[in-house]
Amino acid sequence: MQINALLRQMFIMLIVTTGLWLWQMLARVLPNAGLIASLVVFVGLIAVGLWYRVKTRRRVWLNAYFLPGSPLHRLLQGGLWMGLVQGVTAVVLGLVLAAALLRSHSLWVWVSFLLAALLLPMLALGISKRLETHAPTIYRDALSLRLSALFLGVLLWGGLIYQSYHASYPDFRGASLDQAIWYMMSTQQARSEFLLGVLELSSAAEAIRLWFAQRLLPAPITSLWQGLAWCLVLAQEALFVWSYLLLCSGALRLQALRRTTSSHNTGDDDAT
Amino acid sequence: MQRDTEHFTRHFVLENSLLGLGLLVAIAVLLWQINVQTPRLWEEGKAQTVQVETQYYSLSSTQLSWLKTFTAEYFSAAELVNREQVHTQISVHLDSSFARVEERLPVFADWYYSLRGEYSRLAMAALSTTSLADGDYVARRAAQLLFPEQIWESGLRALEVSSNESLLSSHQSTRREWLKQVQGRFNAQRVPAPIDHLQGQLPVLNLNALNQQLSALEEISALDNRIALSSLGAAGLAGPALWRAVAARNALASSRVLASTGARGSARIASAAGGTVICAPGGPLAIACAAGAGIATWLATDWLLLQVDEAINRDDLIETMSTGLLDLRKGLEQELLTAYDARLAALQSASQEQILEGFELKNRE
Repeated sequence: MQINALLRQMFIMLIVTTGLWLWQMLARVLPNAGLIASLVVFVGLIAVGLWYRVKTRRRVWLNAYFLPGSPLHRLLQGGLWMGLVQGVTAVVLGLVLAAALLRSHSLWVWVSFLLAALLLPMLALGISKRLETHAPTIYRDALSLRLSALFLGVLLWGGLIYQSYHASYPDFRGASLDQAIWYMMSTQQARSEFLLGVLELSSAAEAIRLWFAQRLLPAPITSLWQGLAWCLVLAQEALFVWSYLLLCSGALRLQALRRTTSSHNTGDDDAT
Repeated sequence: MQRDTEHFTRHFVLENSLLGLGLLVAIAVLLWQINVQTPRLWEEGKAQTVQVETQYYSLSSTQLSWLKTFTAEYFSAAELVNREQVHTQISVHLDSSFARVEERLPVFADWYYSLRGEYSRLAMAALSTTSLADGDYVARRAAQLLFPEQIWESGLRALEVSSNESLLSSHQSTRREWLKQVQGRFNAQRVPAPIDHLQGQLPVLNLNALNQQLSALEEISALDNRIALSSLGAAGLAGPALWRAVAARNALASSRVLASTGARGSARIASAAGGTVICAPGGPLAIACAAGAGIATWLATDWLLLQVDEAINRDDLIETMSTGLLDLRKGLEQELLTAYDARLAALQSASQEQILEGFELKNRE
């Protein structure tokens, strides 16, 4: 049973990664409507991942601080406000993911992402088995998924940082800041004006980071600006990996939810 | 029960095997596609960087198309204005030049009805019969008296220089105004200058280069015009042309002039013969006396006849020459206009071609 479920989860992961890759291939030629529809799917999956994460945290917090049966459990369980905050976060992360995906053309990135996506359910299953005697049943799946996402996320993040370190960047040392920003922005093209805006914004941010890093770093190690620029690279790549893994987690959560619903329905039918 | 469990297990093993196999195949296909495919790019509506003086502008394809049309139409309209300006300049110059020629018509008439003029004509006519001189003496004299080279040709040269200068200046201001209008129109599209050493930037459409190419065309056109300037403009040709025009236009006046010349010939022979009679009683000096009296009478008769001829025909001659001058002016004006129009048309055609070529940079890149 577990093997079958694992294979199904891996299929879901494969579909998610294929979908993202296809989106990256076609995003620049998609019209506004198609692009926004695809972004809604991204944001939806990320929102599901975020929602379950924050709900689990809240449940743990409530169980830790309040007695079972307290009306505060129901009052503080999270509702509209929590959903709104997570929704906005999901929108931001969805846009970050979209912009980062469009910058990532290398084979290495996609192979890493595919491997991470396939390993995520496998690792979660393995960790879940290891935690059988340590974690309560209701939190075990969530915990194992979070731990495996954390582990894979750190690996992916390290890989992306390594790649960023060895990547070649345009030389902005002889250029002004506005020239650098315009250079990065002018190389972006997309059919959808919305996507073009997102890409230009992301390129402008990258140009600012590169310009500051190159212009204000005479001594590599001692320069505060270089340190700051590298912090931005770390944060940017971390957001990229996080949004990707959240999307994968969201897809897995949805699949788990669908399985649970269908098994409940089957049970009801049997009872009837 | 056990059979059901075995069946269930077999079913699951088969399903898992198929799932695993399908998964592997799908992964392999995805990896293969990731390796061979490249992202689809959107090229339509790609912006074009345009340089005007030291500023850069990013224009959409629609804006670029507008700029191309605007440039072509702007220069066409400017050429029309330039043509009008040249026409006016030519007309004003010819008015002034021909007024001065017309003022000299009495000088020509004075010469024509003088003894000196008469005997020059007779001598040149005699020489032309023995092929010692050409027969167009009066025409040449008309050129000398009416179109003094230092005034006439230098005037035309001055017209050429001033029209060239005015055209060049007009072209220059047209180009300056064109660049100014482009800058004003696209001020909102200003972007920073491209970074020289970086690759992958959009090609720059340099309007400064187009401006320089148009300027070079204008200078070449001005030089061409100097070669093309008028055959009628030469003083040596204007005089004969005028005299021919006079002769052709007024056959009556011409025949009257010829008739009067013939009559003067007969009269002077008769009067000379009459003069010799005075010396008949002179004895041995009679021959010398007869010769002197004959010459004096000849000259006196000629002078008298010329005075009579002038009194009768001078106004007709001046009027006929004045009309001939008008014809000459029209011919010269037409020739100058044709030369300038041809020059401006050639310049316009070359400019339009240059503009089209300049704007095709985008497609070539």
